[in-house]
Amino acid sequence: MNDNLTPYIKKCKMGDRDAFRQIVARYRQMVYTLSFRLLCNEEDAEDATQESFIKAWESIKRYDESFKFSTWLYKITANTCYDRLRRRKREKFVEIGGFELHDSSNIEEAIENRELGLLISKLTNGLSAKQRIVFILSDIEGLESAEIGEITGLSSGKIKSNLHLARKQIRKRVEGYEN
Amino acid sequence: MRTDIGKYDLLIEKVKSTTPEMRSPERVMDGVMAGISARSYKKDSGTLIRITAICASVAATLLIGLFINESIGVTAKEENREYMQRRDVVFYGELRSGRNSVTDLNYTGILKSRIAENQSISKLYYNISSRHIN
Repeated sequence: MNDNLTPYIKKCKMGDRDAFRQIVARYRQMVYTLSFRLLCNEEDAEDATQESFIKAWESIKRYDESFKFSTWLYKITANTCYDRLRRRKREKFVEIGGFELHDSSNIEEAIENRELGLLISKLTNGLSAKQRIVFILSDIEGLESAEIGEITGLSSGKIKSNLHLARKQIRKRVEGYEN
Repeated sequence: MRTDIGKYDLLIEKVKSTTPEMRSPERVMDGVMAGISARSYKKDSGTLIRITAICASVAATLLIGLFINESIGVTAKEENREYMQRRDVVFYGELRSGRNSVTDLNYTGILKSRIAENQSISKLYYNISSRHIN
């Protein structure tokens, strides 16, 4: 499952920091992307990325190699972001303008981090931390329900209900701005 | 005219297809490595403090135990010596007055030899008797 990663993981388990450096170099973009998509903020995403890797280093001895390493790392990242989202308590509900998306060419346009953060924020603002995580993992990261279950620890039913509520709320907002 | 669902899908597609750009990957790496070092230092010093605290408490317990044992031993020894002295004085007095109630001949012999060796008992007897009189 983690064929070419196994030697690095074994070294990490023995306390080899250089091996862990290799792992960080390989997965930092993945962790950062998830953090950014969940937190919608560059600074917070960087902090969460660092925190997630530090947590991973601290618990790598307990990592079971029969599981996919990326899923394990996703789990740590999702938990780190979940804590941060909860700490934020209630995000200030900013007055959000309409979604400026008039022609399909916009999709190909490269958008800046700030714009992307704002767009995700617009979409997911008002969702609970759980709904946001489930929605991002499922509809944005494209993960299967089983993997989301492994990451979040939620049952299949709860994943479905959270996802349904999140989608419904987002659709309602998109619709609201359209009118 | 695009439908709401179409717009929703477009927005999701846009978010999905855009990977947030990491401004400074090296800074993140440095932050992670520094964090690991700091945590391990903290962990090491924490372990050291814990070990020192355990050793100190063990040493303190041992010292207290030793002190208690010593003081109990000293008190018991003193009490015993005092008892022996009192007993010697009583029997010495009896010996002198010819009312020897001591049936243990062996003890009487020991007492006599002690008296012969030094005068400490008679001195003691004298001291105690005079104190008693006063």
